Amino acid sequence: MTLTATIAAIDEYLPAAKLSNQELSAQFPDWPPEKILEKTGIELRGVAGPDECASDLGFAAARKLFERGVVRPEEIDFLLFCSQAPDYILPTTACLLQERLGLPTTCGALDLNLGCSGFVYGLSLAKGLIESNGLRNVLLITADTYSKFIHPLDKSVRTVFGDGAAATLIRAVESDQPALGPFEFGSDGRGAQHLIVPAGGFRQPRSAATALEQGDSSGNVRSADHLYMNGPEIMQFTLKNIPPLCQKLAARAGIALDQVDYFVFHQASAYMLETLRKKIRIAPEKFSVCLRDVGNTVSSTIPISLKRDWSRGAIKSGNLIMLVGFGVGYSWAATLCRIHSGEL
Amino acid sequence: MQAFVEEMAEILGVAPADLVPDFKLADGAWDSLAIVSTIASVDEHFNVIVEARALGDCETFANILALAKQGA
Amino acid sequence: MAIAGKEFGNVLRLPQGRIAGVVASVPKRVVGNDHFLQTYSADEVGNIEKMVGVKERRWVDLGQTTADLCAAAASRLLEQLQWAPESIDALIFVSQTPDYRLPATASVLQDRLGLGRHCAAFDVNLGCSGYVYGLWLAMQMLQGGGMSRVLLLVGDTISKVVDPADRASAMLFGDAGSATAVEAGGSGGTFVLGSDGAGAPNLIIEQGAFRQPAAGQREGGRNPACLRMDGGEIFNFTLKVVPGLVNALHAAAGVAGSVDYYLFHQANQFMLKHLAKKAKLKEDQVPINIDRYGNTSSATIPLLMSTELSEILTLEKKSVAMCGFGVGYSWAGALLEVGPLKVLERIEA
Repeated sequence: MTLTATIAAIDEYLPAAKLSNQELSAQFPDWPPEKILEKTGIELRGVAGPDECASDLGFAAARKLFERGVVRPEEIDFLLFCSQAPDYILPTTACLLQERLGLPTTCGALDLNLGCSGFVYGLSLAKGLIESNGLRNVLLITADTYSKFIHPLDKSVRTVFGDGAAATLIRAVESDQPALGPFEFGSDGRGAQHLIVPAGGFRQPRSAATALEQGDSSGNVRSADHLYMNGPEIMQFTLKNIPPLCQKLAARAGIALDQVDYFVFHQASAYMLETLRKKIRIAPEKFSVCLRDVGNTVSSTIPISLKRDWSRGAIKSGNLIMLVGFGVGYSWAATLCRIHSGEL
Repeated sequence: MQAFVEEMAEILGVAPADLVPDFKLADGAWDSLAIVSTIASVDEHFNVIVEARALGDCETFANILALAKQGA
Repeated sequence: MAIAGKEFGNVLRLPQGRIAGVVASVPKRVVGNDHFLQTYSADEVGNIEKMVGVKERRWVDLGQTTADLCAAAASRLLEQLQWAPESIDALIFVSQTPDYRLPATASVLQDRLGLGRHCAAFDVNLGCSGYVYGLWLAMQMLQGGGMSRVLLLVGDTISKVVDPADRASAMLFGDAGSATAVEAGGSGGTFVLGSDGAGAPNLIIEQGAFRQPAAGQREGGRNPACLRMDGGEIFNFTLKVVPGLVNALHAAAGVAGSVDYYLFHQANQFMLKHLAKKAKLKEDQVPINIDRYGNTSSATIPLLMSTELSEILTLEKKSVAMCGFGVGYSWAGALLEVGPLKVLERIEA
């Protein structure tokens, strides 16, 4: 028997404030609530408060794990915080969370800047921490607050993204069967320009010029300080790259795609998910769609969906599950996992 | 002890003879850099790591000596 | 295997992985201490020079970023190693001064360097401990057998976030980038990693990210969108953690006395000399280059290797301890064999 990394528990946390399709429709009269729901599959999105950071959402999600007794703070050996909205330029937000959550000082902690592919990257690091370094409990917190990047008059992104967080415990168990992996990764920085906040980093610091607002041909308004998404480009990238990614992962694992019991993809939008599902020929009952009351929470969509689908019985103990993240970067990552557990 | 006083005098930018216990730190070059140097000097001569915050509260040279001896 | 309960961090041993080459890059612009005579008196400048030990440093020009420094170092490294860009399996960019909030700067660099689309790429936010953390991450990615070459890019441009009115910080920091090629094989390394967020307020940029947006106003004579450092507190922390970190590495590897070089994060010359004395290390075992480059945050250790050990490490194999510590607080120690390296050099970018 060897030590194998397995996903042991997940908790989600969404901010209390919500943005509904009715509110959006009142602002964008061309888009009735039904149309927004049909296009995005989303009815409600979480919106972080003005003083609520991604780390606060992540903190609340992690507290849920501790409060229900899955693990104690002092048992955590490593903290991975995946976010694109850190508290500070420096220090590392993971160090602040180490202190706030009462984790030991012997706990390694780092921030990972990745978006939609971040959860799968985090799982891969956690697996290495457990299987190569011999650690027992790794806490992976994914959290983002894209609402803070979004111009209120940019409906192309405002309808899609929701703020939220998930805390995932990856634990060492004695087993002969790997419970996580193999992994496939990829990057293509040529796509960086299609999903970006152009200003606010060190390439282009914020200034009066970057704050200049402009309208686009679809009537959306934004400045260089805001999130820009080229939806058609992202769609094209996804359709071109994600089906072969799934095939490549299956081949690496030595299985056929129809041996996979359940698929959890990054919940980009209902329309994109449905197009991908059909293209890859996955039966609807084996395919997670979980955005109606959350929206696209970036790196947290996969753990949130996994937990919810598990809780409603769509995923059974021992099922072979494929997890696929893709988007901003461009960056993509996929893996296979099995969860043997009563409660997740 | 004499070596410590000489080092502290250099840190504060005063003559060692002037560095009496009642010496008011504010009359010397007592800033954040001096605090860093003082931590090192106390560690070297007394094998005590004094807290930066406690040093920041010191007003006289005697206060520093007390901190150093307290920890030893 | 991890040994739990160690005071200074879990001890992590990775059985394989080695450094194939290192290139550090610094900006062309040399800033001597006379630059500060415009703002401060000669006495003040002289005093700070004596305390922090920095005589000159390199600063980037307005349009140049950390990613630019790292890209130049990476191009040179790949060329010297004759590694084809498509042969890189993963790129890790460690910095606190990234190009964008999103996407990850690593994605942008993947394209700039012409790396393959199969390449994993991500950013890690860490400062003074970042190089050692990054080295550990890079080696860890090689353990499973799926990857064989990792490119680790580490650097910072702290000159962009110092308050010119804060003389101690303004004179302490320099800018630098680095590229380290890590490959499968070799003898791996022993790592000790730890964190203590209680020290966060002592080295921080309070405004400009999501906790507090930049308000654009000075407060109490300081700019809260610039780096704030409590030197005394940082020194206290360093004295408590670093000797223990060195001992933990010695104990874990069972080689006290057989370490050839101790590469410390170049925090402050005064602090380094004191630490070396306290840990009873010989002067020639503890190279220092802070006098010429300042504190370059996450880049100090690779820059130190490239300026002080380039001859010996390209000829021989040496046992090297590395210690990164600071902002977070976060610390990381490593003990590994380095050399003979195919390339170890410092370039200007």
